[in-house]
Amino acid sequence: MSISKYPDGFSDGVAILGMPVLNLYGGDVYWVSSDSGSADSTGQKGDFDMPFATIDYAIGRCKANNGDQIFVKPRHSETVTGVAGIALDVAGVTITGFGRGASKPTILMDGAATVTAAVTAANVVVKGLRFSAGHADVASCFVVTAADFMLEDVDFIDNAANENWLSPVDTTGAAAEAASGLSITDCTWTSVDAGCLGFVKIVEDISRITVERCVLNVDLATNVRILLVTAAKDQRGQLLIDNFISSANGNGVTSISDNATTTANSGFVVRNRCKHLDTTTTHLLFPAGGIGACTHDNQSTSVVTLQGFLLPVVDS
Amino acid sequence: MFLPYAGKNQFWVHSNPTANTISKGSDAYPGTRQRPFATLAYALTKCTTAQDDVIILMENHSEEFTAASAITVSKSNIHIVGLGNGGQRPKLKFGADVSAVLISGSENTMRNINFVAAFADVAKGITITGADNVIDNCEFSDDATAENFLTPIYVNGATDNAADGTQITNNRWYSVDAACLEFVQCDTDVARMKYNGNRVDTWGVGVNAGLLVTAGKSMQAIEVIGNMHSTQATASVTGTTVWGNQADNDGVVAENLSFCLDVAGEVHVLLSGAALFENYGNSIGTVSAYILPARDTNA
Repeated sequence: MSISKYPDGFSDGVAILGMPVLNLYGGDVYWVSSDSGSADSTGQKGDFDMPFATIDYAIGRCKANNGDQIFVKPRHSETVTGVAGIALDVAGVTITGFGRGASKPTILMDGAATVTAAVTAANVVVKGLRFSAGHADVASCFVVTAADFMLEDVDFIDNAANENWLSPVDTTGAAAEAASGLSITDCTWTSVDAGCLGFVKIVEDISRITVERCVLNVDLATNVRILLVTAAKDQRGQLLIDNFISSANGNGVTSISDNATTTANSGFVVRNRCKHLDTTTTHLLFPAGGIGACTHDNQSTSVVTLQGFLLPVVDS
Repeated sequence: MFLPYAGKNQFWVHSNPTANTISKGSDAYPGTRQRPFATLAYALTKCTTAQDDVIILMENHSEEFTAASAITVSKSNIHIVGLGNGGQRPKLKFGADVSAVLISGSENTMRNINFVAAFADVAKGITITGADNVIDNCEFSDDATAENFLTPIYVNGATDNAADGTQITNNRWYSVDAACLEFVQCDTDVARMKYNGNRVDTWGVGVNAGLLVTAGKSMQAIEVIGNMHSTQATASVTGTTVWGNQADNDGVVAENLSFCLDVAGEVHVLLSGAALFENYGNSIGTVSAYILPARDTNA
């Protein structure tokens, strides 16, 4: 049995089971699922009953700046290979996965350490998906060279031992300010590989970057941080708030960011919690010269029997 | 994705000619999703006061205004909702130094809209003179270098307390212009104002505040909770979060965080009469923010 469909909506609105319901999107809708019996997307309508087989195919059906939506059904899985194996090249597309735990749609990024999802169009949103590294030291999952990319409720995991991400999100290749507006909220990164480097790799000036409520369990990594920033690159309007990172970082490795202060930075670095293995008396969460932002209630610990303490020391 | 709502009518608005599956809007259309209006001003004329009508500004909708009060929300209970994320959110541009949006009715809502300064030093963006209006989850930004707001939201009123119940929540203002002033100015007595969850990061160098209460005006039952403000002011900072000079305020100012570059004795909260809890401030990037003003001592 298929569900009732009203593709043109209702000109004067609609009430279902007694409640007026208003659709909050203006574009077209496509569905994706590997659980529908179709081996590929050809011949599928991309609707709820005949979904496409891959996300990349669905993106190819979307129109730029149209507010199109791609919904990914629970238990969807696909394997992606190659540079830009997923091409997020249509502006304004939102991809939303449904499902929790093992039912969360899972994308295996496989074949080589160079496999990527390339974000080359502005205002793309990805949420509710799980990306699994299928190769050793995959350099990055999302390579972001366009503005206002948003990740929400996305998990980055290892597919197996020694199959891991170095930097799940990477702006390599973006011109100065091209990746501004990057927003990563409520995401997780879980790995037992020692080689993990940075949750977000920043290589150029960027404004309005947000990393908020993310949890990074990279317990064996010895040189990892939330932001891995190329020297002397500016971050204006940054928000690094309520993140947790657990690592094996040794002496002198800054867990929040290695971005040395520049007078062109601004923003807030607030309530980040960092567990590491720096047992010196000079724990640093970011360079000693500051990060060019307001810092508040960031905590650090390297002793599992003790709780985190405020770092850096409080102003007076 | 879906909004349960209790309104009578819904009107869709879409100006953007690049959209290609839905028709470009026209005010001659019926204002449906497939045949949307072109302008917000026209959609407002179709709404009826006190019916909780909804106006949906579609992704990439964009309008620019050069006349004062070009958008006037004089009715009540109109809910204007933008669709989309990031740069896809509808843009209402201020193309002249005028307050192009006037909300003089009551109990109206503007949500998920990008208000863009497309002119240098727009003195006042939105003017609110009615009661119980809400600006929520909106962005205030610059269209280009040297195109910026001085004060994005201006709360006034024909008489004191006409704008009681104003709610300005969960908005974000980012600008690199050195002339930026306060995010909100209250130029009237206001009761029951909620100024919560806003994040302001400007490169304004003058003495400015997140919420500036004009000298001689008071705030009763105010909430100023969970805001973050950062400016580049270097001297004589007297109220990065909130500033007012009267002693008869009341309400709560709590859990705000402020940053400026005044290392000589900055004051982030000044609103005598309000209850203060867990407000922190900082002026040096190498240390953590400290509680300011100091805690009571049970003495």
